[in-house]
Amino acid sequence: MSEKPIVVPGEILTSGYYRAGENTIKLDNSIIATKVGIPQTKGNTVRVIALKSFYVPKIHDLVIGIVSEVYYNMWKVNIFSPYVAVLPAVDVFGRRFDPTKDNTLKKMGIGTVLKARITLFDRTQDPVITIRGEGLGIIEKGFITSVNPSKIAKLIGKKGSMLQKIEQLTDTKITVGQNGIILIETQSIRAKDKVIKAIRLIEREAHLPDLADRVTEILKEDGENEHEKATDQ
Amino acid sequence: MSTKRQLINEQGIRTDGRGVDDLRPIKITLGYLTHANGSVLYEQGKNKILAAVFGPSEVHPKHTELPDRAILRVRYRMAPFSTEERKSPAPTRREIELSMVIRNALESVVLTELFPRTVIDIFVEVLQADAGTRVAGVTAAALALADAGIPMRGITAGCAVGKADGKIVCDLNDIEDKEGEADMPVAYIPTLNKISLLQMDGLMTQEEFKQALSKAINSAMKVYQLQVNALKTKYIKREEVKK
Repeated sequence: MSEKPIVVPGEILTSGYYRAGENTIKLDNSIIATKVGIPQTKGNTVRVIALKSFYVPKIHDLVIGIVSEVYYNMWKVNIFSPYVAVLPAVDVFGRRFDPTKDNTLKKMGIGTVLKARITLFDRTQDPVITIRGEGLGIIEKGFITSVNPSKIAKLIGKKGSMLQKIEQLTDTKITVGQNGIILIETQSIRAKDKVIKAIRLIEREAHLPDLADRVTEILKEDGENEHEKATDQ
Repeated sequence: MSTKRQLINEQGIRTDGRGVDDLRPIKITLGYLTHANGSVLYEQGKNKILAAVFGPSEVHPKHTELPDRAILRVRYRMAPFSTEERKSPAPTRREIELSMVIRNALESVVLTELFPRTVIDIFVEVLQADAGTRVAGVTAAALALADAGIPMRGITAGCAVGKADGKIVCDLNDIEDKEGEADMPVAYIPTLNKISLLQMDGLMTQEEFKQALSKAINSAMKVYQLQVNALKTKYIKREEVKK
């Protein structure tokens, strides 16, 4: 696999009968890049896969967030995007929610970590999230780390292959929020460190070829080191 | 009255050894800071400018947010140790004005309409000043914005031109700025072929102005090439580091 060209904002990608996809705009019949990234053409749509980005909420996205403010009828949740998410109390207490009886602060205080899904968002109003659904809710144990949202596709891999590989090699369970927050469920701190090391490698070198091999190498290499350390002791 | 210093000699060499069209050496270090979303250390001759970008993020105070686009908040500051004599750390009228000038120069390239009700914070800190800091600030801020992954129509590149000893010179240094006849900072967006900042201090004839503007655009193009190279090599370099 050869190295792909990198484009910068303002660079003309193509002109003519093309559609402007992600991270591109159409200006005077030309498609131009709006972010630093790698261009890709699929059919008649041109897009740029950004090398660095930030999370913009999308409906149905799984996100991991932290409660930042508590109100009598809702929580404000930091989902690490330009917009703070709203979790309505009705979603947590059910339709019989009564602000005079149910206490939102007792249910979830500031700092509570949540696995949630985005139900509403259109830029004119803040995103609304839900914690009702399979696998959603308060996170009680595990380790949290983050990755730049532009690297999530590479971290998950084709049909989840990369994530499965990391999970198998480290014996952990990893949940990747689309907002770049990652939950690592494991008892072992060593396994957690290994996963974080692999994530950092992906973050650094996602755009370079043979990523999967390098991730395997780093995970196995660590295992050998651990073995060495154990024998030393 | 003291005699006027000669700024360009008979061979057309300036006080720092450059020709009239030469720029000062430029060094760009992208991702200089770890906590900022995007950052750059931009060095142009003796100028050292640190630019950092945060956001887009929630606006505080709330009443300043705009319903249809993001606001750009630029803070241009000169460090107390940036000049020959200690500068008071209190924000001066000049710094407040330059913050506005840089913001106006960048607003035309940032796609603010994509993120309504948010704010993009840009910090331009001049660590060492040697003339032309506003255009160097625009150049650095544009790089930091691109580094932060903020969508833009193009990258703004800036360069100052001026008149010293009756000749039009590019990228003035401190002596030329103070003792020259005119100074004209220009910020240019090469991909859109548009000028986003043009100021002038001093006197020039119409002909001189036309010549100065074309020289400024040429110089900005040189700066732009360096900006593009820096952005592209930031990601390619990783592999070299690994090897």
